[in-house]
Amino acid sequence: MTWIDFVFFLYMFVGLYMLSLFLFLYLHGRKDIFSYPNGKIEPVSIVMPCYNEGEHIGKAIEALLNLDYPRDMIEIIVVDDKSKDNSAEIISKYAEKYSNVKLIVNSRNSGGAAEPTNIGIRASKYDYIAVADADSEPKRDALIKMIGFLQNDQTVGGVTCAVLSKEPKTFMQKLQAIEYAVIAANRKLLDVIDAVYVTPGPFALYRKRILIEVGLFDPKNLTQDIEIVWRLKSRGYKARMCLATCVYSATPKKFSKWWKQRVRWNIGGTQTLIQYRNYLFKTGMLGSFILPFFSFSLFLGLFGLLLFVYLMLRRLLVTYLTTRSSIIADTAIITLQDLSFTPSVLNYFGAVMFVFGLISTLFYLYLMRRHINKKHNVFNILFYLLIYLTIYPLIMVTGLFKLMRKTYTW
Amino acid sequence: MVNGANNAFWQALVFTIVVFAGGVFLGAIIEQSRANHFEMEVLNSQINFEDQKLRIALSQNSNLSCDEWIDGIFNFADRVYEEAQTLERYDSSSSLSDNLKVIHRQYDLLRLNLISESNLLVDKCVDSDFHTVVYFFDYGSEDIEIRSLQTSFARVLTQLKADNPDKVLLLPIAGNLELESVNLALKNHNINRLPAIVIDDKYVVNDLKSSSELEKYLL
Repeated sequence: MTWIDFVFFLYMFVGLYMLSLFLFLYLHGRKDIFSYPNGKIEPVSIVMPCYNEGEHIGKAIEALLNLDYPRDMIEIIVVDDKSKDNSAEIISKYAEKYSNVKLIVNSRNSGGAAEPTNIGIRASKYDYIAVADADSEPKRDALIKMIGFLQNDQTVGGVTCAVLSKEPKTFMQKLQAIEYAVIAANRKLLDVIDAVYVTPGPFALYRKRILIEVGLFDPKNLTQDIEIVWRLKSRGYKARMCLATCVYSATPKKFSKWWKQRVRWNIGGTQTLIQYRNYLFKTGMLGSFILPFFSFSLFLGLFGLLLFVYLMLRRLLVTYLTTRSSIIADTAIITLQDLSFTPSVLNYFGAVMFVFGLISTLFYLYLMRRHINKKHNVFNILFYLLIYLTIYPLIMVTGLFKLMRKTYTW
Repeated sequence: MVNGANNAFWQALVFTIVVFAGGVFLGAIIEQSRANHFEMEVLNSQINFEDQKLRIALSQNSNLSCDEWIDGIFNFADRVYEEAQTLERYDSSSSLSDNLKVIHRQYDLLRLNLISESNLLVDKCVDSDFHTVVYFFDYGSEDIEIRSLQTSFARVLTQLKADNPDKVLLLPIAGNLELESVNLALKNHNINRLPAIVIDDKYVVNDLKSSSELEKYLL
């Protein structure tokens, strides 16, 4: 066995372990996977940061106004981060029409979501703060199903719900729709062991007192929704996940936008990882699972990419040298023998792992069917597994490169 | 946290170890079955070879013609060559064991036997037009340049054999499998780097040449 064979076996072992872990988490938590504590109606301030969201902001506000929650118990604060489009104008119209809708215009463009969110939180008057994205629409029952998590356990600082793709039309959006559904199911399984590591921006609920106690969202971090959870956890608070409801969020239509978004997420994730490195292997889920999991994933992703590049270069070099000498010797550049493929045990392992991955993906999509009307196309699922996911190491490298050179923006 | 959910970490680990070990065990069985298949093939080939030798020995004074003798050796060598190609494919896809390396050695010995047999044939059938082309290669080389060079050598020799099927007795032999007889053959021909081609026990070719250039040695 060569060292490369050994590395492949190691990767497959880790992959199988992660699939098994989620399987066992499901077995432990399956009874409560869609359950939620009954919540009391209490007033909630919903803070929505907004920048150039003229296309979505109207629908987003309306979705909040149409929540199954008494309107007089909701305060909607939209903080415009100096948009260049007509966002502020649209928000003003809603503010004029509805007394519980307020517009705050930031004095400058902060270049991120954290600062306008913090402005909104400071201006809010209620004890519960929901943070919503301006391109997202929560399900009508979102608030009522999520608030019980905070009311029933005083140590819970934040609650998230399933984030799903809003009206996926393009191929990229359809791939993201699969990804979002898989991530949502996975996140609920992490909730079984109290390892929810993010309360995504599209819709999350917090206790205002705790947010202020930990110092609100970090404007320097590109993924303030990950950082806030790690900070909550580092201070002994919990984050929970409610799979009984969801929020539909707009996803990038094109590859370039998607790439930019994912690079930003990776930079933010790495920033958070570095920021909380001292908690590694310390007590609590942050130190014993979340940090090692993220660090190990980052290492495996980068090492895997390096190995892939090395193997490809070696292959290219062999092909080049063979072709060159075959030309010199005036013989065939390629023969039938070169095209023959004899599967090795590693290939069988890889195929079995792919089948396991496919089964778990299909299972997660099956779990999420209650929130998704359309069925996913088989080709899209295969493309997601075989191509889409393999792009991630490249995103990681780009993110790290930009982080090192400090050439990143929102 | 759900009660007892922390156990999922250990349960998953045990489950993974069991499934993984099962997979490795199955993989070892697959590789072993391939090795068993080749063990039978090499055994059959050895029996056929002994049979061939006995047939020749018993009919020394009878009417076994050179043509029949040559046909026998060629058919046998071609079959061994095909088996070796399949063995090569399986060998390169083998990850868990070195079983096939031993079989490689057995095949190499068989082919070495064929060289001495063909030398006998040359002595006996002076007028016959056939040539022994022995290709010594570096087995399992990790050196990229050697691997590329060997691929080209193999292609040239395959072409040579395809162009002269009844004239060329092609015998590829690994030169680095620690077989004393192979080492002796290499020493006899002053070969100190692989790959190398020995034609008719006379010419040693170390550099890559085209099939037509090699054909000149056959004249």
